[in-house]
This record gives sequence, C-alpha cells and structure tokens, in this order.
Amino acid sequence: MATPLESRMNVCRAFSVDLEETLAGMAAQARWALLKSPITLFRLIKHHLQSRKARTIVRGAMEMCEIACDHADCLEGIHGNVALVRDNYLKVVSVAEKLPVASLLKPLLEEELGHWDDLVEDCVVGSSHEFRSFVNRISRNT
Amino acid sequence: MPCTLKQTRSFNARLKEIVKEFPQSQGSIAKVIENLPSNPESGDLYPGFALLKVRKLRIPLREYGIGKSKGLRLIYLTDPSKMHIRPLVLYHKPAFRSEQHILNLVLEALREIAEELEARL
Repeated sequence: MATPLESRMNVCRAFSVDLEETLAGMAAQARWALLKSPITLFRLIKHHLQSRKARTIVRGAMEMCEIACDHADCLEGIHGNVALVRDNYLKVVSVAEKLPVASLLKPLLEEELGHWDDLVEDCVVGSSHEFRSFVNRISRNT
Repeated sequence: MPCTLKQTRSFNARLKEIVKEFPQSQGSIAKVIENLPSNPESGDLYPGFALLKVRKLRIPLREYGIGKSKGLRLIYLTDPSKMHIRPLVLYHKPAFRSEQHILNLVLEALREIAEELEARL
C-alpha cells in the first residue's frame, strides 16, 4: 500500500499528465485562432477563458505543493507544453494586431501572454537542478 | 511577527540600476520591498521545497503606466522557521522568451548567498 507521501506524489503525477493534455489541446486551438475567419473573435474569447482556467490550476497546484523533491519532474514535464502555449500566444498577439476584430482583444491577449511567459520562466528556473541544489545548500547552512 | 529582510550586495546594486531606469517609481519599488516581511507569501511559489520557499512577485510601475504583466519581477527566498527573507533578483520584463537569462541571474544570486553562508561557518 502506498504511503501518504507516495499517494500525494501519485496525485501530483496524475495531475501533471492531465495538465499536459489540457495544455496540448490549448496549443492546438491557438493555432486555429490564427485563421482569418469571422469566428476568430469567438475562438479568442473562448481560448482566453480556458487559458485563465488552466493557469489557475497550475498556480494552485504549485501553491499547494508541500513535498520536498530534488528533481521537480512535474515542472520539467509541463515545461514543453507551457512553452508551446506561450509561443503560440506570441503568434496570436502578432496576428491580432493585423485583424481589426481581434485587435479589440489585444490588451487581454498581451496580459495572458505575460502570464504564460512567467509560467515558462518558473518552469525553467524551478526545474533547474543547479537552482534546486543551491536552495538546498542554503537551507542546510542557514 | 514580521520577517527580517536580508539584502545582498548584488541585489542592492541591481536595485540601484532599476531605480536609475525608473526614477519615478523609486518610492513604490522601495515600498514593495519594505512590505515584503509583513507579507512574505505574496508572490507565486516555486514548488518542491520543504524548508526554504522561493517566490516570484510581479510589481507594476504605475508611474510609467506599466501594469503587472510588463512590470518588474522580484524573486525572493523565505525561511519561515527563522523568519528571514532574502531578495534574490529584481528585473524588468520588457521582452518574452528570456527564461534562460533569468535562470542565470537567479543562479548567480543563489551562489552569492550560499558562498556567504559557507564562509561564515
């Protein structure tokens, strides 16, 4: 039988897999938003709402994590998809500038891009072995 | 009881550079840093640490009409058991895709603290 710590790690892993699927789906939708079609605006609004929800889930999970680990595999695991969403947002923002209908949402899109870029930064920093080793070294000597 | 703020030399140098870049926001930046000890959990948490906590705070530069998303970022280390806060890095976020540069800044700051603590032992 799994120890409480192991079962928490399992929940964490399952969440990570779930999240990767959600983010991959979002990234695919972001590509669709690039189409210069009349439904772009509706897609962007829908996408924006989904994006906020996904970010809240990731941040919420990070805030609740009280497990000490040397590797932060969860961050390393989601990094690729988070970066993909950020990169697609960059494309969406640049296309939105050219579409009168989508430019209305530009401030919202830029804000969202900032959030995703922060999340990418946090995944890169948080999953760095050097970073974790320094924090643990400080923790031992403080 | 509020935490104690411990600023490193490199952080203070970085703070001076930022203030030089945004002189009108000097007061509000100082206020955010001063308020950190009474509100140590205000930033986003880097997960996976049991004793020390690392957080990132987004700071707007209202004097320049810059919101949180394009404002400053403050990455800091907290030691809840000893009630210490160590600001690590303060940087402006004008561009995207600069995560590797940020990681290098954070590692530099952590190395300085780790070496300082080890020298004291």
